[in-house]
Amino acid sequence: MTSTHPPAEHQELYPERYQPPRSPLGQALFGPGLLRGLWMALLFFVLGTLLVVGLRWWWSWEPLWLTEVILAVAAMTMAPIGFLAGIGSFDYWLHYVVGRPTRPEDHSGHGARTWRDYFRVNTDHKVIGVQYLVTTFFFFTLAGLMAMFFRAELAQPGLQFVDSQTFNGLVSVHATLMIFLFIIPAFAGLANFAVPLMLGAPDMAFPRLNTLSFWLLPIAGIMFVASFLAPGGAFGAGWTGYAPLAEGQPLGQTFFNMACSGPGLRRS
Amino acid sequence: MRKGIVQLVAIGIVIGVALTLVAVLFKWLPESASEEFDRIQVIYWFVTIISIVIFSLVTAVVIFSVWKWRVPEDDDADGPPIHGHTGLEILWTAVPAVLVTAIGIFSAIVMARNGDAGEKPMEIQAIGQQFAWKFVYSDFADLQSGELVLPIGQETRFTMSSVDVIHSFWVPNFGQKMDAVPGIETEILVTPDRMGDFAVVCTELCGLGHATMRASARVVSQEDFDAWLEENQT
Repeated sequence: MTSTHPPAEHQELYPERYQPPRSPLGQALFGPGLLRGLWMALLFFVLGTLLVVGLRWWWSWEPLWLTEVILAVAAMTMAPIGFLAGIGSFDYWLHYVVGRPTRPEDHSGHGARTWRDYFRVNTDHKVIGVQYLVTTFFFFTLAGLMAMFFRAELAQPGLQFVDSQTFNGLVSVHATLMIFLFIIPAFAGLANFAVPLMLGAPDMAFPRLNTLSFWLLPIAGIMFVASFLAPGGAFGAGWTGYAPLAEGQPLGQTFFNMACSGPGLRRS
Repeated sequence: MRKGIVQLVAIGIVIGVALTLVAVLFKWLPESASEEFDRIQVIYWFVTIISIVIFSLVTAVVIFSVWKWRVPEDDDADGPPIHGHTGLEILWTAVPAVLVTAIGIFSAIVMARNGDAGEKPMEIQAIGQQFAWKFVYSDFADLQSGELVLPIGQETRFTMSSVDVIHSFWVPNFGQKMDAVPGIETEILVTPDRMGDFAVVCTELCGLGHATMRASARVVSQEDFDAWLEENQT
């Protein structure tokens, strides 16, 4: 059986393909990982905001600061790209494109050694499978708690805890999470883990795309949940978001649209 | 061998009886109040009976096999090879094929009859809006009503439309449901065959008042319907 793991003598044979080790602080800040993902997401958010404000200033559009557009461009498009780049999803391709030595070591040969490896970009199909299943069960629990909450609201006539828009928002976010963050990807997790083993294949085809595909998932989930923080509240047009009703929804609907059409693309 | 078959059949009968009790003792469907729903319920029971028989058969064989031919714990052998059984394979392909075809033909007949408007149906426009239903009786000088009143035994064609967002017209006891979509006209046919008060509910999330978007549907005798028309027509 072939292994995607480079042999031990690889580093001695091709020293130019391995970068000199960074200092621990430098590795934490500039090496691929959640910390770099965080600051790159913030950086890309600022860049997106500058892009919007800059273009509106250039064309003399009023008002200069438009929360909806900035949220859609900076928070929902740029920041996720920054996060993905930060955790290292694009490292291999970007190194290849700019001519830097690509690092063959992407954990594909060994999977996870510690629990921390599950929070990193890892191309091993079993790690991705576990990442999928844990993520989906996290959002499954979250959506289940929302269901408990709006059931509690329904226990007595009238409004106890939330207003009508928040109630519809709870129902919609619950359904959306259950569909897009549980039913669909839970199967992807199981398949990622089991199918290569059943076939006797070393890994899935296109392991780096496989990783990227997984990391889009938590972004979509966070965007669905974050719609509760948007001015006007979460989207309340159901997980189907049918047009005439969805048009009249508050800003939260944009979170639904962006999460479905951006990170949600992973489904195709 | 004979003892085994008796045990197999006994397990199957126990499962079948249990399933039949579950199917019969619980009230799974709303009580029918229209000829269309009567036909649908016939199909429903037809499919349920077939499912009970097949499910009992399959589970009986599985349970019997697990119980009867369970290997001892230290037996790791693969067991004797199986070379197939052509007769059995023909049987379990042909029987489901016949059953599925029968269900298909039966359903097609019911759908054709439910979709046949007959000689002269009564025309009612059901107009959905946030958050109420409006019924316009086209045959009676466009009489408008927020309450749906139908004469018993009269075939009625509902033409749905919506003035704002998508709604869905559903009277559970009529067994018919249809979306009311802005810009499109959709229709269903209902022939009420039982008098009583029923509920019209909206079954497509249509906004903040979706849960309260209800109207009453009243099926009355022809005389009462004429009296109601008289009373409400100006």
